Formats: sequence, structure tokens, C-alpha cells
Amino acid sequence: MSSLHPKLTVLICVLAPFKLACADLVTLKDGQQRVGHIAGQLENVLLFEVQPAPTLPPVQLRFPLAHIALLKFEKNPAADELLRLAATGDSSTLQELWERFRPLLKNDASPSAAIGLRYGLLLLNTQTLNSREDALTLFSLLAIDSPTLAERDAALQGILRALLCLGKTQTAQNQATEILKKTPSAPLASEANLTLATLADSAFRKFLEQHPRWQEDPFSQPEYHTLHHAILDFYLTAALLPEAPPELAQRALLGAMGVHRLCKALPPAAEIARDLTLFFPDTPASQIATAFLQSLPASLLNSDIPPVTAPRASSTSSGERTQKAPKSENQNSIQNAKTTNSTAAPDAPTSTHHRKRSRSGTQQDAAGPLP
Amino acid sequence: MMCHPRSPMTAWCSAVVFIVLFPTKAIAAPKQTLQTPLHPLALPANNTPTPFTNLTAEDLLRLANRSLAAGNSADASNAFLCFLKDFEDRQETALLVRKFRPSLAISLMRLGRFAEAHQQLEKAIATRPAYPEPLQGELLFQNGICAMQLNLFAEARNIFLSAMPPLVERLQLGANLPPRAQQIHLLIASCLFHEATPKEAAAHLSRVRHLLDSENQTRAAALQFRALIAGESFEQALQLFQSDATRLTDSRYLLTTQTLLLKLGDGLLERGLNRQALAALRQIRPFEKLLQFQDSVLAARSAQVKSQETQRQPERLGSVEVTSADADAHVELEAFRVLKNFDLSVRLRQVAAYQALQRHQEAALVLEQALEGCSQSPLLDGAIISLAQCWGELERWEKVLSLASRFLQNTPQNATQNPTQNPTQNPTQNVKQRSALTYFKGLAEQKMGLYVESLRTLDSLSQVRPQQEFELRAEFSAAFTQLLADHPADAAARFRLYLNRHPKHATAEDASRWFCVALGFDKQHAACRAAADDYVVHFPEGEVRPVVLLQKARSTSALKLQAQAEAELNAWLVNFPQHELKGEAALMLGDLLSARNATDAALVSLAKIPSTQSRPFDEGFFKAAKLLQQSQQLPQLYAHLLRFPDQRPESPRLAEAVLWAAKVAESPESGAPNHAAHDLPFDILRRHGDNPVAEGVEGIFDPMAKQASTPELRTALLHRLTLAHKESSQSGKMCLTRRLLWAIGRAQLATNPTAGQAALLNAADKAPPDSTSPRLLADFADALAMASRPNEAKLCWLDLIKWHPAAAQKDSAFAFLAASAAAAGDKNSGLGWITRFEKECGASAQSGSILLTKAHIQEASGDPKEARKTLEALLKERAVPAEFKADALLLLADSHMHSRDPHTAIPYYQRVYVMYARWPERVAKAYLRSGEAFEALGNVPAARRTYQEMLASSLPRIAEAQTHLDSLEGLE
Repeated sequence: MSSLHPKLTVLICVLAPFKLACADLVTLKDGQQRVGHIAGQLENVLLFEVQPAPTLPPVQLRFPLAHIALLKFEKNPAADELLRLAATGDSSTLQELWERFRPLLKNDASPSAAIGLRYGLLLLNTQTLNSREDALTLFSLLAIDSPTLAERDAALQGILRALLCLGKTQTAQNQATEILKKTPSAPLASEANLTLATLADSAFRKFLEQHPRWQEDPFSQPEYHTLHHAILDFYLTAALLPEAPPELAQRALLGAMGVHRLCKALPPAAEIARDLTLFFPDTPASQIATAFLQSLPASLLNSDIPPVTAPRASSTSSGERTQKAPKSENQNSIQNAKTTNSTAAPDAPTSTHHRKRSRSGTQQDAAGPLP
Repeated sequence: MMCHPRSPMTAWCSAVVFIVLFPTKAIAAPKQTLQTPLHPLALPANNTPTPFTNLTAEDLLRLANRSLAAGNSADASNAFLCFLKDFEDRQETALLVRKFRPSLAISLMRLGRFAEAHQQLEKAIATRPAYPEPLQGELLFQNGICAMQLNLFAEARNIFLSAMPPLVERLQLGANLPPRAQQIHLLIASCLFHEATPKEAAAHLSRVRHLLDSENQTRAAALQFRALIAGESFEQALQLFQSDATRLTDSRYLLTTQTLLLKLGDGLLERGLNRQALAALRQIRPFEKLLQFQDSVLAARSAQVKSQETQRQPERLGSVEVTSADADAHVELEAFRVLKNFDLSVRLRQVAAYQALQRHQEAALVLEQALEGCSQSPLLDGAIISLAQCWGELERWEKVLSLASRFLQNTPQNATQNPTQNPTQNPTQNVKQRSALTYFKGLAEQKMGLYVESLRTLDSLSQVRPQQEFELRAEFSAAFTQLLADHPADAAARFRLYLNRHPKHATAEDASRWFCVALGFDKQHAACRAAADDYVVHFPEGEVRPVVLLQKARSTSALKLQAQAEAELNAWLVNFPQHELKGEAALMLGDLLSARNATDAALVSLAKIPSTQSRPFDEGFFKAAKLLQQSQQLPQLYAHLLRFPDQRPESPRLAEAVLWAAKVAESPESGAPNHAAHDLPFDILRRHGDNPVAEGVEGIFDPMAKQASTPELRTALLHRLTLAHKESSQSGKMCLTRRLLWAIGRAQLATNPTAGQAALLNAADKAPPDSTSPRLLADFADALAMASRPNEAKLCWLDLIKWHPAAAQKDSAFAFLAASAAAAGDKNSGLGWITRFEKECGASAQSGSILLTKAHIQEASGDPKEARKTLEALLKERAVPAEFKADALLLLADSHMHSRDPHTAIPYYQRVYVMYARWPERVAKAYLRSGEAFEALGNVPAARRTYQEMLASSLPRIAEAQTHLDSLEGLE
């Protein structure tokens, strides 16, 4: 085995807490059972780490797959948290980890799907054509082979984002529409609606570009209204679904606010901005909303506009402070892929100023982590 | 609007939030409520203590000790009580009593005999010397618990307070309180809550929360949240939830919190804090998920308890509460499980909040989601109507129509008459719902212009229950639909009937107004006047009184009651001086006065038209000018016309006023300065020509060019334009410069096409399409096409469509773009432009060009039949210029030739050279093709005659005819 990347070592340490409560179990065909930590698979060998004594360093064992009867993984919240915090800089670590856990994907409770999902998101954030294609391939694999419905749904969310990033708009539209026909989970339904909203938003902006004086043209007005209604329906549905993930709800509301602003409909834009400040206080989305509210003329203002506050930060296990709020890399890539010369409104949810960096410099994605 | 959803849920919510939940073993369970069962370990009422009559004092204490050790509280307490009965007051056993009384109290507590326990604890606490700490404190604490169980909350709180000081004294700065002190604080807050002082409970918790450890902070948050809601401090409750969401959604408090959130949402809604209500309601999770989650939590807890039971440890104080808390959680869960329409209730509250915020789209989307996710429920009835209302508010009539049609189709009328088919629905409610949706369907059809369908729908409803709200509104709407459908007589008849039936209804005023309008439209002027009088009598403060009175004046005028009409209009102008119809009224009065030659009065009236009301102002202005001209008041006329450019610089009639003024200035009687006639147009150009919106100035140039009928005048005009162009160019007036260059180009096109073309191309360069008028852009595009710059011409036409979508030149743009696409072989694009032309342009001089292009495309697509149909259609169009018809005939003939049908082709060719001699190129082509057709038929004599006929003319392509003729030599 090649020498481990330092970050991978950290992650593996977290993945291997050596506590009985969250230890993995390997049952061999000869009936032996070993408790420890499954550290992945290399070719036909399972990597298994055990700690002989609390004071001693862990020892890595290798079990040929042919000897293994059963694997049982235990949930490891610390590892989940570390995965959640992984940023673009951790891509290579995640890639190595994914390669090791990929063969174990179909095992119940294995962390493979979680690793794959996070790695996929990081690939999307890398914003190169190849990495986006890789992300799409990865999410497609996860959407089929992940052991739980929630993980498969999350992978479908990833597919939709990847398709948008790659500019495969027709495929994205078809997939999102198909998903919505099948009573999906709330996060997936929200993502599908957001995908359709993004596409409709793009079409709407293109329409406005081509018909800057649509008000004077009775033949353009129906198309304007159709597109306008469709975007807002999609954005608002994504935000209003019960249990819509907050990250997606914020993106959706920002999108709806952007559409209203684009159409110079300031009162409804202000209404949504007020929602954002109240529903999602201390987030970058609420900051944008507050800044918008403060820019409004006095006649549109009322007293419930909060002062602009910095997003609440939370300490991470590694001592870094990262913004807890939604993140934005995927979003940008989606927009960039969509149109190269579009005239996005200043507050469009997809515009680059939504990209946030934590103090440590790690980029976060506004699309939020996949569940 | 939808009523505020106060369902049985609210009552349940109120009940369940009073379930006291401290489901942990760390603190004792407080008061049991009606919702919770009796303490599980409490003895039944008839379970009297076992008598131990034969035992000695020593035996009794031994038994009590043994039972206590074995966890048999019943025997232990009975033994203690028997002992006390005999020996409590004896001096010699005082020490023993002192020693065992606390154990007795605890045993009694475990049995749920709190009154007895309380008594024993009181005695123990009163014992002197007092028990050493920490036992004394523990006794006080347990005594407080007993008092709480006996609903003696004030007493319990005092007991807890008395237990507090020694505990608090041990607190170090910055540290959490000791565990027992934390519990006491929570219990004090609980007592305050139960003493009906929830605000104080919340305030107490707010003061001490920072001194609690994490676990107790969670409990405190749950209690504080409940207390804030009970104390109706809803905004603080929301703030608490937002800052402590993680604690409050802890699995042990989840259901309570969720139901409290519903209550919180209600409270905020009632206070009109709609957005805050939404913030609370959106935190409520779906019913099924809550049940699943709570089931799994309780199952896990039960498993944990079972595993603990297998390794049973001696009972400790408080262990009874674990079971009690679990029981409470189970009770709460079961109470929650039987709830109906939980999700729908939440969603309907959200809808109410969004509607109150006038956010109908959100309300509609939430309702749609709710309707998708819910089965039959009485609440749904109102929800469907609300949904239709929301879509109606948004003017999304297609949604209203689809919703109403779907509902009416899925709920046949007889279903409403036979409630046994769906017992969950109230038949009366069903009829009402059906009526409402039928009404909305009719309304949607009306708004979508489907008047026949709308009438059918509305009429089907208005007969059902004529005095009911929706039926009544349907009757009104049907009358209005007739008015929209341009059937004013029918509309008037319906409104008359409506007013007779429902003179007091809220819609009567509107009906009265539209009745008057309908009569006016139907030219029933006398009736219209009477209807207007009725309106004024019945609605003296009616909002649309000015509209009705103006309609009356119109009818008066139509009845030729001039004096009466003048009086009515004068009164109108006095009474409604600021009304938006003032211009129309003043114009009408001006017309009446000028008709009876009261010129001065007419001029006064026309001068009252505000320039902000553009249509009546322009009309009135030129009528006034005409009056001044008729009365030969030339100085006044000149001055009047001069005012127009300043008052209405954006008017399309600006050039008309300027040129008229220039013409008047030519007359010495006008009093205009010398050279005013020549200078005025250029003065106006200088003042308004650089304003892109003042497109009217462009109309000045063509008449000036036409007036310059001699070469000298043309040269002079050109010189003047060139000077003006130079001046504007030097002063940086880009728009004016462009307009003047365009004018120079146009002025030269006839006499010096090359120079004219160059000027136009020069003007076209860098012309911003958004602020260049379509008239100029069209000329630029033509010039570019003429200059063999088709791509730039195409861009120019595209810009014209983009920036001037209502321009009259749009037909030329479509014609060019279609022809251009067809020439490039882009059939789809070509057909696309043709479709837009057909849709957007109607009758147009470009129809011929468009149809020819369409036929070309159809022919090229291998569909000659369709191409011929198109060409035949072109030939039937009267408006199509003859040139295009000649081309159409040629194309038709060619098409038949391609189909090897020269016999049919020949008459088409012949029609060209018979009817369209003005276009010799086309005639020559027709002769030649006709001859070829005869040749193809083998009719050499006819072919020879055709070529000879052509040779006898002065047509072009004579040489070709001669060649053909030569080739026929010797043939028969």
C-alpha cells in the first residue's frame, strides 16, 4: 500500500475511534469474529485495523476477501462530521479514501456512499469539465449501488447538479421531471424543483435579453408570464416543501427574490428577503437579503429589517472556524455552465458573489451538502 | 377569503401542552394530569395495608428494613406505619422514629401515597435537632415533590426555595449549579407554570439557564418554550425556538415541541404576526415522520429499560420517574397518533399566513401540496375554494379553470345529492363547494375570452340556488360576460333582472354601473340616462359616480339634447376637476360647443384638457387649432400651434403641428416673425430633435422634401439639412445628428441614389437600436441590403424586432428575415419568421413577399401541393401588389412544369404576359417558359407562335426567343 496522505490518516483515525460502541465487525468464514475498524479494500484484500491496547498504535490487518463471511459496519458520527467539513482542498484525500471504500459500497452502513457523495460534490466544486464528468459518473454509480434510499436520493441530487454544471440542460430537465413524477423524498423533490427553476430562470433571462420591451409587445407577453410563473412556481415549491433542506430552501428563496428583482417587482422581492432574514437568521442568505432590504427606498421598508450581522461561525474539531451556513461552489459552477454571457441580476442566487470562504480558506458550497 | 383554520387540532394542542413531561430519571416527576394515568406504582384504592398485628416493634423494623432492601415499598411502608402507630409518641423510640421516618416517606412516595409521604416528610423536617446535610436538604426536596404531586404548587415552590440556600452557597463563580440545585430551579419554574404564572416561570428559567448543565438546559428550554407560549409571549417563544432549535427538537421533547409550534403558529397568526407564524409553522415536521421517529425512539428506550432490568440495581430515589416519563411519552404519542389532519392543519395555517401577507402564489403552492398529500377531509372543501381564489388573485385563470374542471368532473352533481357515497363530506358543504368552483370556472372562462363557455357555465349555476352567494355572483358575471362578448342588449337585460332581484346586494352598485354602460353601448340612450339617475339615487356616494354621469352625458348628447348635455358636462367638470376622464369630458363639451359655433366657449373647454391625458389632449389641441383657423384668428392659431412641441414633445402628431405652424407663418396676418416659416422646423429640431423619444420630429423631413419640388429648392433644403447636421454633430447631439443624416439620405435617394445611400449607411453606423426609431432602422436595413451587406441588414431587422416590437415596420422585418433564411436553406427558421408574420402582422403590404417565400420553402421541401395552395391563396389576396401576383403565377406555372404537367402550366404563363405587362422581365420569362411548355407538349406550331410573338415585342431576352425559334426550324 502506498504511504497515506496526512489528511487521510487524520480521517482514518476518526473513522477508527476504537470504541466498542462504534466498531466494525468482520466475521470470517471459519467463524472467527474480529472487532476493529474497516479501513477499506485494496484489490482482493480487506484492510482492517485493530488496536491491541489503548496505549498502542493501531495495527493494520489484511483479510483476503475469500476468507470473509460477513462485514458489519457501525455508524460513526465523527467521521460523518469530518466528511461534511471536507473542502475542495481535501479532494485528493477523499479520492484516495473513495478508491479504498468503493468496493464496499453495497455493504449496509458502510461509509462508502457518504465518502462518494462528498467526493462527488468536491469534484463538482473543482469546476473543470473533466471533474464534472467524473462527478456525474460517480453520482450515477452511487444512485444505483448505494445501500440506502436516502443515499440513492442524495446521489440523484448530485446527478442533477452535475448535469446542470455540465450544461446538459435537456437531460437535467428530463431527469428532474421524471423524479417529480415519482413522489420523491423532500430533499430530492426540492432539488428537482430547484433544477427546473434554474433552467427556467436561464430561459427567462434569455427571453428578457431577446425581448427587452416585452411590455410593448402583446405577442411576447404570454411567454413572459408563462416563464415568470414557471420559475416562481419551481423556486417557491422548492422552498415550501415540508422538510426541504434549509440550504436548498435558502437558494430557492434567493432565486425567487432574484427573479422579482429582475422584474423590478420590489415589494414581493422585499417580502421574500424578509422571509430569509427571519427563517434563516445569521446565514449568508440572510445577509444578502438584509443588504437588499437596506438598499430599498424608504417607502418599501418597514421596521422588521434586522441589522446586517456576520454569519454565525462554529468551531470545527480541528480548531478552524467555518461558516455554518450554506455554501456555494456548486451553485456557481451550475450558473457558469449554464450560460457564459448571461446578464445575471445582481442578486441572482447563482452569481459569484455568493461564493463564501471560511477563515481557513476552505470553500463551501451554497448548494449544501447532500444528505 | 379562507377562514382562519381553527380545527379540533387547536383544542387538542391546548390539552396536550399541559401534559407535564420531565421524562428523565434525574428529577422527580411533578404533577400528574388527567391525560396521564395514575402513577404506575400506586396502590389501587382498595389496597389497604397488610396488618402486622402479631409483630413486635423490633420485628416490624426488621421487616421494614428487609422490604426496603428488596425494593418492596408496600411492605416496608406498612411495617413502618404499624411501628409508628404504636411507638411514634414514645420517648424511648424517638431516635428510631427519627432514623426511619425518611425511609418511610420515600416508600410512600414510591407507592404514590404522596399525602402520607408529605405528612411524614413535614414531621421529619420539623424534627429537632435537624437532620444533617445533605439529608435535610434531600428531605426538603422530596417534600417539595410531594407538594407538587398534591397540586400544592405555591407550597412546593416555598419548600424548594427553602431547600435552595445551602445548595447555592456551594456554587463557585462561573461554574454550573450543583445538580440538585439545577433540579430545584427547574421544579420552581414548573411550580410557577402550574400556578398559572407561566410568564414568571419563563422569566425564572431565563435567569438561571446559564447556570445549568447541558442536559438541564435542554429541559429548561423545553419548559421555558412551553411557559412562553402559555403566557402568550409568542414572539419570545419564537426567538427561543430559533436560538435553541437543537435542544427543543431533542427526541424527548419532539412531539411536545411540535404541537407547541402549532399552538405558537396559531398565537402569532391571531396577533397578525404572519411571517413569524410562518417561521414557527415551517418547523413542524410531517405527521407520519414524527410518528415513525417517536415510535423508534420509544422502542429504543424500552429496549434500554429491559436491558437495565436484567441487571437490576437497588432502587434509588427518582427511579420511579423513568417509568413515569416513559408512560407520559407513550400517552402523548398515542394521543398524537389518533390526530386527524395534522399535516393539513399545519398547511392551512401557513396558507392563512401567506394570504394575510397577500402572497397568493405561496398560498396557492402550499395548498396544492396539501391537496396532493391529503386524503378526504372536511378541511379540504374550503382548501379547494381557497386555491381557486389564490390562482384567481394571481390572474392565473388557466389554473383556476383546470382546478375547477377537474374537481367538477371528479365530483359528479349527484354525488352531492347522495351523501352516503362519501360520508366524510357534508352535503350542504358539498353543494356550496360545487357552486363556488362552478362560479370560478365560469369566471376563468370569461377572463380567458371563452365567452360562450363562460355563459354556459355561469348560467348552469345561477339557476341552482338563486339567493346563494356564488349563484348570485354567477348571475352578475354572466351579465358582464355578455357585455364583454359585445352583446350589450343581452347584458343590459341581465343587469336589469339582476338589479330587480338583488337591489341590496354588495354587487348592486357595480351592476347598476354596468347596466348604465350596457345601455349606452346598446344606444338605448334614454334608458341609459334613467339608469344613471337610478345609480345616483341609490349610490349617492358611489365610487364610479363620475363614470356613470359621463356615460349619462354621452347619452344625452346622443339624444341631441345639446343644452342638457352641455349642462351635464359643465357640472361634471366642476364636480370632478381632477378625474382621469376630465380630458374626455372637456373634449366632448368642446365638440358640443363648437357644433353650435360657440367657438370661444369651445376653446375654453378644449384648453382644460390636461396634457397628461395624451389622447384627448392631442385630439382637443388640433380641434382647437381648426376652430382658430375657421375663425381666421391666425396670430392665436400660430401661437397655439407653437405651444404643442413643448407640451407634447413625444406626440406622434408633433410634425403635423410644426408644419401647420410653418404654413400659418407664411401668412403675414399670422404675426409670425420673418423667416419663421423656414426656420421653425429647424428650431423645433434643435429643441427636440435630440430627444430619442420625440420620434414625431422625424415626420418633419418627408413633407419638407416633398415641398422642395424644384432642383433649387431641393439644393437649398439639402444645404440647410447639411448645415444643421454639422451643427448638431459639433455639439455632440448624437440622436439629432443621426436623424439629420437619415433625412439627408432620404432627400437624395431620388435624385442622387449613391449619395443618399451613403448618407443612410453612414447614419446606420453605430446607431443604437434601442434609441433609434423603427422608421430609421427600417431604412438603414434596406440601405444595408441594397449595399450587399445582407448580414448587417439582417442584424438591423433583428434589432428592430427586438427593440421595437410594436413597430409598424415589423412586417418588413419578418419578410426580409424569412426570405433571407429561405435563401440560406434554413427552412425551419424561414417558416418560423413566416409564422410570426402571420400571427403578428395580419393584413400587410408584405403579405405577397411572405407568401412567395413560404411557397419557395414548401417547394424546396418537396411539398409542391402545399406550395401551390399558398400561391393560389396569394393570388386571391386583394391587398397583394400585382408584382407579387406575377411572380406567384410564374412560380405556379414552374411548379406544374416540374411536375411534368406543361398543359396546366401554360395558362399560368399566358396570364403573366397578358395581365402584367408592366414587368417586362417577368413577361419575357413567361413567354420563354410558355414556348418551352408547348415544345414539351410537342405542339411546335404553338411554340413557334409564342416565340414569334415575343420577338415582335420589345421585351428583354429576345435573343433567347430567337435561339428557341431557330431550334424549331424544320420541325412540324
